[in-house]
Amino acid sequence: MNTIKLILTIILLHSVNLIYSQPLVIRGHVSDKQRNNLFAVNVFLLKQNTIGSVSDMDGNFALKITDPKTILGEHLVFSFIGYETFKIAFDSINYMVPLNIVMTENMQALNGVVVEGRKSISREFSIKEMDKLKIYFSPLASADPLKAVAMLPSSTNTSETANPELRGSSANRTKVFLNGVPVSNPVRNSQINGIGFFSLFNPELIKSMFVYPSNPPLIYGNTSAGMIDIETEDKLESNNYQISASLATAGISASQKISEKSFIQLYGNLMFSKGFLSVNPEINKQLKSFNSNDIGLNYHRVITDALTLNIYNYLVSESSDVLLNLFTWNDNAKAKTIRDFSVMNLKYQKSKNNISFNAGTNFSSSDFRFGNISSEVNQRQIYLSLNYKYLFSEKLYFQTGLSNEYGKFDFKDQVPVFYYAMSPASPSFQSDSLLKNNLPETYAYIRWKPVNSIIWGVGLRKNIDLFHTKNPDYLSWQTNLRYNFMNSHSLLFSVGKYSNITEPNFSYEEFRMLSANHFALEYLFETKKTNINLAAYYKSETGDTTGNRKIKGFEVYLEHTITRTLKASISNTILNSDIGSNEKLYNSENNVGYFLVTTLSYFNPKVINASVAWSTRQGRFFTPVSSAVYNPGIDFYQPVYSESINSERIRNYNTINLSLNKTLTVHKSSLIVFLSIFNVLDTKNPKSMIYSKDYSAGSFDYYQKRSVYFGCVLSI
Amino acid sequence: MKTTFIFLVCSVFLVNSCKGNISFSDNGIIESIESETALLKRSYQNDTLLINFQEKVMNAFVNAKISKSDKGLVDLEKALLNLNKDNNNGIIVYWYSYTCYYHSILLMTEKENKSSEKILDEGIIQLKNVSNLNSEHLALLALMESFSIQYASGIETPFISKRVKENAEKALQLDSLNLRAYFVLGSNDFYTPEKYGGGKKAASYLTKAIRLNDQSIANPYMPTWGKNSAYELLIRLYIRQKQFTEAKKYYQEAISLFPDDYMINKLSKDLIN
Repeated sequence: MNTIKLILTIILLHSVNLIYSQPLVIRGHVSDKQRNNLFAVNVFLLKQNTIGSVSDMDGNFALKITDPKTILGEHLVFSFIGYETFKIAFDSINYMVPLNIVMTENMQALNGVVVEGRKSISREFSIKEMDKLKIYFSPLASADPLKAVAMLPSSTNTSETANPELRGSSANRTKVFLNGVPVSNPVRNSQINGIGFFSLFNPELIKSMFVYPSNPPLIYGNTSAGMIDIETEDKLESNNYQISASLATAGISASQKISEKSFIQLYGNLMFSKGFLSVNPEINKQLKSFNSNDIGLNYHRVITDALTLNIYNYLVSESSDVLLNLFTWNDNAKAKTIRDFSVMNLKYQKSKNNISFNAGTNFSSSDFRFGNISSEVNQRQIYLSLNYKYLFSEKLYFQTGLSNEYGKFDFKDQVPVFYYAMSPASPSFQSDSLLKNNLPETYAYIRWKPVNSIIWGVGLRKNIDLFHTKNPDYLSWQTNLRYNFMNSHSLLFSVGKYSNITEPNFSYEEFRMLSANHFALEYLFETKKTNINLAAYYKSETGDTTGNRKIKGFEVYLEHTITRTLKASISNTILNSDIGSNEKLYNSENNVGYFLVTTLSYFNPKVINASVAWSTRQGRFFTPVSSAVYNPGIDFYQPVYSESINSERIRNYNTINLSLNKTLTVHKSSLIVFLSIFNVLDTKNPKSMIYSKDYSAGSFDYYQKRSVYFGCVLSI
Repeated sequence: MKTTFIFLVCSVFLVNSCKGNISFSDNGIIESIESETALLKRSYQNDTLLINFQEKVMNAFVNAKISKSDKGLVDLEKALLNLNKDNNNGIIVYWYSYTCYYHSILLMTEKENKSSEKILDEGIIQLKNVSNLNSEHLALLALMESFSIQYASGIETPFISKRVKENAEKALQLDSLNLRAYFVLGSNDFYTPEKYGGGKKAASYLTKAIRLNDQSIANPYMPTWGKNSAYELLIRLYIRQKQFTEAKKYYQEAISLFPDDYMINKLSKDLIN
């Protein structure tokens, strides 16, 4: 008995000793909310943080506490980069069971998701993302954002303007959005052939530009072809001032921080033709003059951590005088426009919720006179949209919203009685019309990333009968699937049905609905030195006055950095485009068997930067005039067109353009001197037919001949 | 017999006590101290490779310089790739890319520029593929992309520089106390020519970097690099700006913290001159 007592006493004494003086090991497991084991989590005492351990690769940890007395009043802390620090009082720990700790992502990590969430929900389905730098470095884009788009393989622009025409669709189906607001007619002096090659946008304002050559994301509406989504800067790195002067422009640009939370960007340009036309007298003898004055202002303010405001306003006044040939009448066409365009964005972001309100206005008055035609148009457009985005996780985003596009077009036109007789003495009649339309729509879009390599997007957009408008009922839908594999490869499949309502113009004074089905499969390969893009697409378009269009296209693009200073690219597009009705299809005017663009860029800032581009394509199809009938009453011939629509093709287009620039350092400022030569070989590229009075003889109107353009930009 | 029994009982407790461990199982039964020791041993065996890995890379790098063979670094890369096959862990990828970075530096110093570029690209690609890049991943990515500028064509330079900045800024958004992110931002600004807007913020970024801790809590699996390099660059910046008082002040601080740092020691000549 005594022996047993003795043993028990020894055990008891030992237990007491264990509790108060022997080391303890606290074990457990750490995981995240998705039950993933967390490796390298710090496990330590709050006050004596030198006593600690780290979880292993399976999330297990074992913390040895040599002197258990140290745990009195202590907390056990779990911390890991990107996760909320977790504390537990030792009093509440049951040492009998291993601890099972679940850590949650911290607000900073969440902020990472939120920062990602601020970006466009559909950006992963865009084919090209360009920022300010890429625009500046785009060969031959002259720092113009839309001209940079025109250099992409998906651009099928055959008009030498900056107006985007993508994948065979006409410009009136394609939309440019600035901070979520559609920009009607994004080109300056667009009335004049060959001169509307400057867009409204100053690259200094641009943070990013996403190009969707087909399958436009349905978070935006009213487009049934491509879409260009431009976002302005939301952060100004440093103050920047520029003065520019060239043969045709003089401009200033200033970006200035007002405070840590706000900045302003202001720019203005005077555009004049005298210098340009005197240096290039042969460029286009039909061009008499062009002028424009514009001023733009962008203001950005972070009101609170959650709320930001951006206001952009652009005012432009432009005029032109050009010798124009319509049918058989040759005369001066004079155009004037004054326009004010503004965009306001209010964004609220709290945690995973993102609300944005976008408002845009476009007010313009234009006047056009040619022969017996005169057209005065007052245009008023107001766009409003309210959007809500929720970030369920970094994998799943949802966005929904409402928008309305209001348009009012007041036409006061003098229109020829006979469409082929346009002399001032030819009969005409007054045709005034006032057209108004509201286009309220609602949409929903989901972007899901089930695994790291797959991104899936689904969108729906529907017009709603909010104002009892006469718009036809429609539902647009789309789905996009992107698969990224083997580090550098991507496949993108997109399909959808899209709708838009065109703006009325002098030729078609009506709001007309256009729709289109798109299928596109793209392959993208991108490494440091090589980019390859392949695309095959099919589109069927309905609603155009010229008939329905079926477009099949194949694009190939290869870009390679040959040496540290030399980069080359080649792209080709095969565009099989037919137009007509279900019974009979004809070649569309822009049906081209090849559309080849090659560029070679040499970049060596110490010497010079130079780019040369060669563009060649088949000429456009046209319908020839087979005979003409004399109308003695007005002394004009009425053309009779061949029954074979678009049966003849204009000669192939061929041009080589060269651009050179050199950056010089003047004190702490940089001076960029540039020279561009357009159509270096002075090739006569026919654009359209010009007929004699009785249509018995024909000649050609030509695209821009060789022109030289130079200037400089001083950045302070 | 009784004495023997008592002795045995006492001995068991005594031995166990000396081992200094006790643990409780799920069932609340006191397990043997042996099993607890086994758990600790298992944890460290699996992850031994990753403990103080930064030091292992540095040792392999120095050995490679001395022996003129990159075998040590290659072995580390292989070991990490093998480990990642089973675990696919962001920390393993981090150290793999970090090893690639040092491997790339080594090859560059041996004038094997093509191989240097290739291994650097490999590290960058692996790092970019990590899902949920954390602040440390982004800081390393920015550092490696910054190093890659020397192999880039002139056309690409401004784009890479922009990416460096974006990744380092994002690293700070995720962890505002990450000294490595500040160091990379400072370095990027330091090497950006004035006419392209560089040199204005380097001092501010580098000063922040040297004032921050290597790690908030010591963790043998996580990186500690950056502070010595931030000191070195800050001193060079002040020498470049001819602000020698500032340069000397930071030199003294640096040399007391990193007395054996080759690059910092090298600056003493410039300061004397």
